[in-house]
Amino acid sequence: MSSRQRPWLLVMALLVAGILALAAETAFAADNRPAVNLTLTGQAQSDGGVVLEAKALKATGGVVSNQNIDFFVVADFFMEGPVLIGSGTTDGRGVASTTYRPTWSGNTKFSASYSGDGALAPAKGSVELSVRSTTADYHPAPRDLSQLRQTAGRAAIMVALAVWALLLTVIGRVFWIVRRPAPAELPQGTPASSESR
Amino acid sequence: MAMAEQDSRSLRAMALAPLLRGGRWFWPAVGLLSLPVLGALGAWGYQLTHGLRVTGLRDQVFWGVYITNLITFIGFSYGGALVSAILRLTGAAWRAPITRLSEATALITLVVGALFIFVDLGRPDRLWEFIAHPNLSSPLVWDALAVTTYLVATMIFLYLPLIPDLAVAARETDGRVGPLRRWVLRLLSLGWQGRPDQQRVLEWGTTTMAILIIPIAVTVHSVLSWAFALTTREGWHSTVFGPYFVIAALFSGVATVILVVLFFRWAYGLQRHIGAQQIRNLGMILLTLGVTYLYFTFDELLTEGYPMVMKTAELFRVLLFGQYGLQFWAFVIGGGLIPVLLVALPWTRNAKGIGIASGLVVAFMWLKRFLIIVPPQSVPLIAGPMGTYHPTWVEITITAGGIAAVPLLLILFFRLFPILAIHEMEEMESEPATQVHP
Repeated sequence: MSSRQRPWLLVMALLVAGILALAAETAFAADNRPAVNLTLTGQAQSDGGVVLEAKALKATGGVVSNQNIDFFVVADFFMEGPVLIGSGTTDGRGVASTTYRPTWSGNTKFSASYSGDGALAPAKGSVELSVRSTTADYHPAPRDLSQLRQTAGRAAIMVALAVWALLLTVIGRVFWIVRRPAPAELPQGTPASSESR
Repeated sequence: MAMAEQDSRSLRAMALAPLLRGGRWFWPAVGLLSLPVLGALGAWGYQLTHGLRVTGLRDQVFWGVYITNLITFIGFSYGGALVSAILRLTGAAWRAPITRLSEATALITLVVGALFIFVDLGRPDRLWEFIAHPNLSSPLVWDALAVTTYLVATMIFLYLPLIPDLAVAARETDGRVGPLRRWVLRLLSLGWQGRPDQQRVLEWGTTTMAILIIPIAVTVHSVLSWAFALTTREGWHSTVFGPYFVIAALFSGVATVILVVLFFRWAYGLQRHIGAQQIRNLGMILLTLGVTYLYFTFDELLTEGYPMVMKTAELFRVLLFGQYGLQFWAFVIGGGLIPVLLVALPWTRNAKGIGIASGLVVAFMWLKRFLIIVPPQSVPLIAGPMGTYHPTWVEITITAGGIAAVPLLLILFFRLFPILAIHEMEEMESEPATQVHP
């Protein structure tokens, strides 16, 4: 059985060889970009907030400035995973910071991530903090209904006043016209009384 | 033409007869009905002296028969006003002989019902605080405003069509009634002469009031229902309560109008003007409302009961099979099914059958209001035993007085004012002639 007889075997062999070569290239390729050390520290505040500071320095020495750092809390909701809680840009000291208000207490893991660029390699840092004070679970802020209540109350009063005005108009108009002067004083041509039957 | 004049004279004579002579039954009836009313005044005085502890009301069940009476009597009023207003607006010619009776029933039952607000207060003298410092977030404030507005509207609605009839009464009873009554009749007739401008303004005023009184009456009963439904109490917190109360009011109100019409038809021999047609038509309205009310009752029980939330389940157990079970099923059968059958079946659809049906509806609808108000309060809000409520002799006496006050005031009212809408009936009678000879 030759390759002429089985051309698809040749195609498959070439594909497998290509994939293996690509994997080897990826696995053993060296990142030549300078490494970055990302150090994450945190400080719990008295008001329940946590200030996270990430300091990015080149392994060769020097500050990584004006770069974006993402901050995460490692949450265990069905499964452990990072949840983005903020971002910051490194300053002249290589420091980026964010403030986070945890909603649960206890030991909490935070991480920071620098995704790198053409000149610097990506980097990660993490820290575990003991959170004692938390803010309440997130609730959508209720809309302030006091204005609506006042407006509705006023509208209801206006409706009631309108109804009373209408009632007074009806009775007042009937009183006015029925008690008006007798036919003799009405303009000429007014039809005569139809009451007596 | 001579026949028409004869009919007109006969109509006027019949409508004005009670002003001249009350009938042999008049004074015995006034005496008999005055006794419970006087008893009620005495019992209220006793309650004012000793406080609400002489009633069966306690901190758990704080609304009892007084609030039941309030809702029931205002409901009676609603039927009278609505029957008159809707039939007037739809131009139903058969309405004319019963409009005065309906409108007077509306006013008198409303006045008696509203008095129970004062009776239910341990310190009625503090009512001023309610007016001076109203809490606009409370449905009770809007209740009071709605009831007051409805009272004024009902008075105007009764008074406007009465103006021409008062002029007729003043003229035709001249010399046969005392000077004071004649003076009152003339004063209230406002110098009516039947001029076209007077006719026009009266027609405008009556039509405007007929339109206006419908939303006002719907508002009154809706706001009354919200006094219950806006709470979080099981059995009260229901979205269907507004229309449920409105239908209940119409149902019991039409039944009350039928009873009033039947009584005065018999008492003053008005069979010639209030015939079998009027009674049958009112019976058909009662039937429609009865079926609708039963549907609402079923709907409310199903939607509240089906999820079987613990507190609701407890309430339903007490209401359907426990302490109040007998009363509830008595209402369903006596106040719902039997009246509906009495009117629906052709061989009982007559004055007697419709009268019995109406009597049952009036009695059992009072019971239904009691079942709406009391059992939900019996279920404890947090924990503890079921609350109990037994009306005392004070509450029963005052209630009996309120019930007797309605026929008493109606009898006295129609001793002073024409019982039939003369002007309106004469207009109705003249309409076919106008069409034939334009």
